[in-house]
Amino acid sequence: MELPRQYILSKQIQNKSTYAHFFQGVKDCIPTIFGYLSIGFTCGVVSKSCGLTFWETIGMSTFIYAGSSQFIAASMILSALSAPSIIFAIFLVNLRHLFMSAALAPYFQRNSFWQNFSIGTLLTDETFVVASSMGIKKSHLSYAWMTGLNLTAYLNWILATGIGVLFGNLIPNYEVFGLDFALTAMFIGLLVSSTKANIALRKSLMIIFSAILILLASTPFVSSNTGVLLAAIGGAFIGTVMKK
Amino acid sequence: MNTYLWTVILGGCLVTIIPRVLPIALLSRVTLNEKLANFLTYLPISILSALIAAELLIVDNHVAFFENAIRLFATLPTLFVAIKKDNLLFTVLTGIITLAALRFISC
Repeated sequence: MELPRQYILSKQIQNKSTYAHFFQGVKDCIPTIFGYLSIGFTCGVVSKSCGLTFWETIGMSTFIYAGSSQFIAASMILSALSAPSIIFAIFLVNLRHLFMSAALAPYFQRNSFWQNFSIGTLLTDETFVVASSMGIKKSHLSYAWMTGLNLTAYLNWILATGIGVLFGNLIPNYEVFGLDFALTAMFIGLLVSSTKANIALRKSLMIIFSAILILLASTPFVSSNTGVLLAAIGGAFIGTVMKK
Repeated sequence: MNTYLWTVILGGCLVTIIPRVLPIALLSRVTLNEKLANFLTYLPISILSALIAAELLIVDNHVAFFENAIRLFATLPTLFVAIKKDNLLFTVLTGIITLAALRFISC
């Protein structure tokens, strides 16, 4: 039986828009590339100096795929600490993703379980902030877009750590180029665009200052990873209980 | 093959995937109550503020304003461009170039 012409047409449009969404995701990943390259490169250099081989470093980037966890794991491996204690440290450092993953859930309600599973496995700080600042404006995000964003960031990270291991000793002091500020600058840009979205400015500012104060207040008592977690929860909580 | 290292890598894989996947896979199935939905809307701003503050104001687990002065100065033009133009790439490049220029001047 011949398919109705209308069906074929709509299928074509749908396919085209899937590609378009995917490549839009790739494009929206570009601002994160600088930050990833410089941190990934550093991570490769540090991993090598802690005694990891090329393939072990690539293995970490591929399977763990988490910047600060990899730094900490590499230094613990150097000190020959037990595997369970290193795995537990990785778990604690990465626990903040629990909240990032939760915050993205409302934008992906139309997806299947496995689609969201695959989005989650490649979720990082950077792809989270790009996705959430887009989500705040659009209220729904496409699976193809998110996959384009996630995959670009993932490949860039593996590439950057690989380059760090191989060529780390050739490049003397790359901090001179200011690349180590790329990530912070990107976070600043995304924070500003998020506050321009549909939350009242007064409330946004209140959340921002609460989070910063909680972080600073907690610094003498807990590690900065735990501090970030407490500040994130505290800031959002104050936003929730605050009137208008 | 180094069994110790690959135990860490595969164990690390498991413990990083669980917190990434569970909330998005499960919470997207249910309708959230309004308070929780609001909390989740405010989380990104809160997380971003905490991450930026940690990058700018904390060195080796203690609060440091002066050790990071050069990065704090680089924040000003970055913030200005972010507010004036809604272009993330432009914001990132402004930050990188300002910091490189400040370092060049100061040394």
